[in-house]
Amino acid sequence: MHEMSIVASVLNIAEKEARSADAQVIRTIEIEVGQLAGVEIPALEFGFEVARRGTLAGEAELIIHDIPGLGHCRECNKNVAIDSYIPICPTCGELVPEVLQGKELRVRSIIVD
Amino acid sequence: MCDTCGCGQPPEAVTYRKPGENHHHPDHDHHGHNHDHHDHDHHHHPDQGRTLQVETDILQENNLLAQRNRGWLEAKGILALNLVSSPGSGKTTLLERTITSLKDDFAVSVIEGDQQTLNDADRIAATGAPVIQVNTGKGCHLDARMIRRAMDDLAPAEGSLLMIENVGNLVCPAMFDLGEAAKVVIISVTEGDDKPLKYPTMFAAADLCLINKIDLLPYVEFDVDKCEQAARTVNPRLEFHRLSATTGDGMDSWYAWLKTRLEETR
Repeated sequence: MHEMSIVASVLNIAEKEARSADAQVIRTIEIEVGQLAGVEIPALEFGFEVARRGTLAGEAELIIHDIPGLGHCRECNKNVAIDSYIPICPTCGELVPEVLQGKELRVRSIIVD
Repeated sequence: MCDTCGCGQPPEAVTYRKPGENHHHPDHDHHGHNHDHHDHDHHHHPDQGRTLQVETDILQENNLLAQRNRGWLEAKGILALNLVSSPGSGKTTLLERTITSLKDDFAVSVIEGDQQTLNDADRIAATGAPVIQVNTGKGCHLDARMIRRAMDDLAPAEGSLLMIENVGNLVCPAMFDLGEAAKVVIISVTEGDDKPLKYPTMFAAADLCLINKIDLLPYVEFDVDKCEQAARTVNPRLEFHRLSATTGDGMDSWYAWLKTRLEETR
């Protein structure tokens, strides 16, 4: 369950950012998780509930933006939705070599007091 | 951190040991926080708070440390390989045979990752290769910081081969760059030939796939071609070697791959 490490990194990044802005409390953390990033969102949410205690984000809300997978199919010459690690074009069934979106794992912003 | 998984545990819970050294417990105790749900009320403030744009990759810290490791390894001409697989695929046996066969050609050292025990490091030490055991405790993968720390202790020689045997797990180690030159995924024929489709992340991240225990093929329903085809669907770049670390069959092409990669690294 690597989601616990992911949560620890999210909290580190958020606390560092909050401290450098002289904030006392983190109210909200917004993150982006791509559907192809290999992270289970329920596990992330569970981990956050536990790991936030004792940090500046002790009562913070975690907002997760789910970023859908997107690739470029050379056969169809257009961008297509990719919903699994096996990047197959839903239109022509060819392999999509170029994944353009869906592997994100980023802290977007935080709201602090 | 939590007792359920532990992979976000503090770094002092991870131990680094060499065979023959006294076992010392790192100075940590499980700090006495309890995990009761305290009955706090959520006070939602009426005012808006300040929004800070962060825009930071969550894995950035690990990725930066991994790149630092990679630069250090490149400067010393060391080829570092990250060996990943399910538990029981034969990683340690593969290492034992590889080290024994190649130790006259070049120096090999090993970082062994397991949750507990010094067992694998003891087996490697018996081959004469320098080895350090990283016990991750409850952690499910090695990370770049652990490798940095282990390399400081191990001090691999310039121009040598550094084998990193990751924790047996086909999921989590895929996400954590250690600074290696290549990831080598090992699958044994006693597993399912559809494993690349079940655990695509690891096969997508790997550079080389070793199909181990081919001496057992007459006794199992494992279709090697089907397995390779499944893995290529996930990762068209993937190269394969079919071998048995127990009998030695097919090991020569793996050794040739290692020698070529090491020459390119030096």
